[in-house]
Amino acid sequence: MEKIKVLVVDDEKTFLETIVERLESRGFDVQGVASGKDCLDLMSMESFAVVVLDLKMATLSGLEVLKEIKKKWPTTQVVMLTGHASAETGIEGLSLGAFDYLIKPAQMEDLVRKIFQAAESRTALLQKRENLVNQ
Amino acid sequence: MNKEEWEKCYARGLAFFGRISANVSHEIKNHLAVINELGGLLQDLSIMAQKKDGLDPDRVDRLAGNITAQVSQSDKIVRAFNYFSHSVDRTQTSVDLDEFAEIMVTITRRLAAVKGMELVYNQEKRQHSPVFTNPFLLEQLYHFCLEHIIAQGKSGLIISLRIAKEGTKGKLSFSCPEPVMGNIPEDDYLDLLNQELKASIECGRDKRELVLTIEPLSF
Repeated sequence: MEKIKVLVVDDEKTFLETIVERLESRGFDVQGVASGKDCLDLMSMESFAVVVLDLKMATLSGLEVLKEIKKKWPTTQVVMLTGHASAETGIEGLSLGAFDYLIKPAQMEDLVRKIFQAAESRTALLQKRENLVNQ
Repeated sequence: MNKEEWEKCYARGLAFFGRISANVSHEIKNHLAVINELGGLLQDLSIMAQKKDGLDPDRVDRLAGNITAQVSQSDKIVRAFNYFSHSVDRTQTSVDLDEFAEIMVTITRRLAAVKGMELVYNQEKRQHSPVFTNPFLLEQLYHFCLEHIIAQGKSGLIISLRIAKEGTKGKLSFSCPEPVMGNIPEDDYLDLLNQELKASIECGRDKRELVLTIEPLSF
């Protein structure tokens, strides 16, 4: 079975490196970048099934990055990570097309489950699009 | 202060306290998130070690060191936040500007960081610099200056804070390598704070410096 391609975006270096390693050890094909700009640059060269995106980042915010991703790569699913105690920003992200969100600190099992669900959702979307084209 | 001024002071002061508290809690949450992942990675390594190879002691040592560093940074923020929270206890007290600057930079560094800027307390020689003042109002004046600079600056900007004593007066100087300062826009509340603290804020060095000067309050 092909590995699910995941891109993690977080400007906290230690967090990024650790989460990338932990996801890799769970069988995902993972890359990590430390800014919204790097995320968009990499996505213009490579395709990812799921993006795990921190909402609070310097310069380009997570919500701005989310908008760009949904505009340019609408089938790529985005799971947001938010440090906010309230669900407000997570819900705002959902309204902008994110697949789901998790509040930091999140449990790895929850993140892994969300990534699988998001990847399944993308596969279903791609299938639907292919069916439409074939019709 | 009349009733209207007092009400304004209360409302704006509470809003300021809320902003700083939210900022600090975000920063602590970030550290907890990192500790959570590092702890999780240690568990992953332990599980893998049981299945095949043993643990790499250097790797474990590095991870443990990383956790300790995160705890130490969180502790520094919590201690600074505790100082800040207690600043409303007394309306007039002796404030050591050196300690004040270090505390305020610690709890407001993230305000600059989320805009891609760096805030540093750049005191060459640390010295006890007491000024008799209202600490909570002084914190708000500091915040006025910082927010103004952040609003004018761009990502990559380094904002340095220094303190100085000139006779009985205390000075907090924000400086940047680029001319981004300008004068702070007019604000009734800022005027009130300046009046209460006998303070003034001046832009200097070709818009590269913003200096907050306070005179000691009388008993």
